[in-house]
Amino acid sequence: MNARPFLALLAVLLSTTLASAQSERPIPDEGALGELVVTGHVKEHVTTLAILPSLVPDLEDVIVRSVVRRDMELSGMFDVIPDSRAPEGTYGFDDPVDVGAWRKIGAEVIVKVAARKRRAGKIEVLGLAYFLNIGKDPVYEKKLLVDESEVRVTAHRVTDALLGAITGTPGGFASQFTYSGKWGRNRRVFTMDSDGAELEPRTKETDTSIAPTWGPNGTLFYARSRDYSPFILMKRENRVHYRVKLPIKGSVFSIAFNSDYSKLALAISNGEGSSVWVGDADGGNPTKVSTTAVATHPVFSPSGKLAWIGGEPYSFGAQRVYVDGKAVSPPGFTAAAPAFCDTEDGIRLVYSVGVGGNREDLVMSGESGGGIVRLTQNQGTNTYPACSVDGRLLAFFSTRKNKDGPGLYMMSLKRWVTNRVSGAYGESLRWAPLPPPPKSARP
Amino acid sequence: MMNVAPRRPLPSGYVGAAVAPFTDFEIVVAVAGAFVIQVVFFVTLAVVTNRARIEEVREPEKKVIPISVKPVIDETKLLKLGGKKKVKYKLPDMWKKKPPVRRQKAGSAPSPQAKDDPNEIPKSELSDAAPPPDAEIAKEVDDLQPDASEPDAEATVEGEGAPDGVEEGTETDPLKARAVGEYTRKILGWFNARWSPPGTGAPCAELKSLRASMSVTIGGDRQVTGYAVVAPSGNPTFDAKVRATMDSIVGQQLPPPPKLYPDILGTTQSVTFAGTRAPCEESAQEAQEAQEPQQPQEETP
Repeated sequence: MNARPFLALLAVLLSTTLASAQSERPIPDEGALGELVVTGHVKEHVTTLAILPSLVPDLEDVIVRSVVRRDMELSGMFDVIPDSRAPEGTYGFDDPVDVGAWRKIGAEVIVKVAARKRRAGKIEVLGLAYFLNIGKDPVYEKKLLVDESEVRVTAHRVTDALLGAITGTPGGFASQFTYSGKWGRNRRVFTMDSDGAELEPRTKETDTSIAPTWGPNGTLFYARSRDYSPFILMKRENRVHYRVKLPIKGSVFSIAFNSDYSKLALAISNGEGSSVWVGDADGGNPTKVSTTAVATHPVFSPSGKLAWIGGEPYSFGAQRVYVDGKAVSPPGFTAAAPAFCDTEDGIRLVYSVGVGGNREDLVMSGESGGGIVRLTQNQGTNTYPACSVDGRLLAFFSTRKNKDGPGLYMMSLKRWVTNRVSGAYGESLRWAPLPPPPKSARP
Repeated sequence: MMNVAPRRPLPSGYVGAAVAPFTDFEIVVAVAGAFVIQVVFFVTLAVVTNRARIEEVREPEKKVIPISVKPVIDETKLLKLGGKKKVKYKLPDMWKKKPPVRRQKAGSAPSPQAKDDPNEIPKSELSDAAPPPDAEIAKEVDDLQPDASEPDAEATVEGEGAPDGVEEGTETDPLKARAVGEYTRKILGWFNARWSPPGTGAPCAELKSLRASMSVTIGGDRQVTGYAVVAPSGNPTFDAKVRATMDSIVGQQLPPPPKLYPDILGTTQSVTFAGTRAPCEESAQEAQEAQEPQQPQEETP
C-alpha cells in the first residue's frame, strides 16, 4: 500500500494545526511604559508648580484662587512657587498667561484659576493648566457656571480636576470630614470641608452623639444617647434627624459603610463586651462576624475586606486590629481606629498603637498587615486616621506641640510632609467624598 | 448715813419702792460672806492632797529551760525565683527624609595655591569653577533642576504632537503622556528599590557596564507572575543576582496605574538590570583607561 498520500495528508493536517495554534497564541501586551532600565538608584522628582496670583478684589475670584492654592499646598505633591516670585503682569480672567516668564523661574506646570460674576447669583469659574514641556497652549481648560453658594465647592472640584490632569488621578478635595468632639459634658458630631473650613456642629448640645460616618448621598449616620440611655443609630438627611431601627438590641458604638454603600457594619454592645455585625445598608439581615469578647470600630477596605478592633476587655495590649477575622497588628500594642487607604502604591491599612506615656502613634501596613512602617514619632499623640478619596492624603488628630499646636493634621502619603488643617480636635474621624454635582458643574 | 442720789420726782399716786432695795447692813454681810467662802475654798485646796498610791505590777521572771535541737536536712531542692521572660515589643522607627546631598562634579580650575610645577597639573576635566573643598565629589552629577530654558527651535515635524516629542513617539494626548511618564517613574522606583547590583565578580569597570534584560509577566491583579531572561549579561555573579532579585519579585504586586488611565500597564514589561551603580571602586588604572581616549596602535596613511 502506498503511504505517500497519507503522509501528505498528515503533513497538511499538522501544518494547519501548528498555524492555527500560532495564530491563537496571545500576543504579549507590552503596555505603554517602554523598557525600564533599573540601576538601583531611587531618584525622587518633585514637580515645580506655579499658581497664578489674583490681583482682582472680587470675592469669588479670591475664594476660588485661595482654595485652589491651599489645596495644592495641602496635597504635598508639588513645590509651589510663592506668590512673591510671580513675574510682573496682569492676572485678570481673560488675560493671557506669560508662559515664558514662568518658565524662567523654574515652573514645570502652570495653573490658572479665576472666577467672575455672570448674571444674578451665577459665577463663572475658569481652570487652566499648562505643561511647559508641551508648549504655550493649555493642556487642560474648563469653564463652569455655578451658583454663588457653590463657589467654594466648585473650587475644590477644579483642584481635583487639575490634579487629575497633572497626575492622571483626580484629587480628593471635594470631600468632607465628620468627627465627634467634646461640647461641655457631652459630645457632638461636627462636619467640615476637606481644607478645614465650614466647621459646623450637626447634633444637639444636650445629646451625647458619637461615632459619626458618611452614608450614601452625603447622609450622616451617628450614635446618640439622651439622658444616659443606650446609644441608638441615627441618620441625618436633608437637615432632619431620623432614628434607624435595628433588629439587634444593644448600644451602638460604631458605624461603617462599604465603598458602594451596600453594606453596613455596626459595633453593638452585648453582655460584657461588644460584637461587630454586618448587614444590609438599612441595618437589616445582620450577621455577627466578630469572635472576640470585645469588637468595635469596624471599617471596610476598598476591596471589601472588613477590619475592626478586637480583643479582651481588661488587659493592656490585647486589643488588636483584625482583618477578616485574623489579627494583623503587632502583639503587645493596643491598637485602635483602623482605616484603609487606596494609595498610589496599593491598598494600605493605617491604625494607631499605644506607645506608652498615654500616647499613640500611627503605623501603616499592607492591606493584610505585612510590612509595617511608622508614620509618626515623638510628636504628641496621634489618633483616628482617615484617608482621602484619592488615597494620597492621611488626616488625623494630633496633640503635637509645634508652632501650629494640636488639631487636625494632613500627611501626604507620597512625600511624607505634614500640614495642619484645623485646630479642631476630637475622635472617630471619617472622610468621604461630597455627593456628585449636577452635570453642568462638573469640571 | 449714806448720801442717796437725787431721784426724779415720783409720779403722783405711786406706791412702789420708795426706799433703797438693800440696807447698808445687808450689803456688808453679803460682802463678808463672799469673802469667807473664797478663803475657805483656797484653804481647802491647799490643805487637802491625794495620798493614794498605785502599786507597780511586775511581770514574773521567765525561767530558761534548755532543750536539745537536732537539725534535719531538707534534701528537696528549692525552686529558683523566676518568671516568663518579658518580651519588650518595639515599633520600627519612623522613616525620616534625609536632605539630598548636593554633589559636585569633579573638575579643575585655576587656583592661586597651585604649585608651579607642570607635573602637578591635574588631569581632571577643566571646569569654570572648582568645587568647594568640603563638597561631595562625583564623576557624574544629575541635573536637579529641570531645564528652564525656552525650546530653541520649533518642531520640525508637522502634525499632531509636542515640540519636545520624539519622532518614534505615539502618544498625542499630553495629559496621558504625562501620566504615563509619572507612572513609569513610579514603576522604575519600585524596581530600583529592590535591585542592588553586585560589587564583586568582575573588575569594577566591567561590573558597571553589565546589563541583563528580562521580560516580566504581569497578571491581571498587577501581580508579577513570572519572568524570562531575554539577554543575560554573561557574567555569572551578575546574572545570579538578577535572577535572585527577580525570584523575590515574583508574587509581589506592582503599584496601580493612574485612575484615569488604568490600561497603561500591559501583561509583559521589558526590564533591564544595569550595574551602573555597582558598589565598587574603580582602580586608578581603570579610571585612567576610562578617561584616556584609545590611541591608535599604528599610524594610518
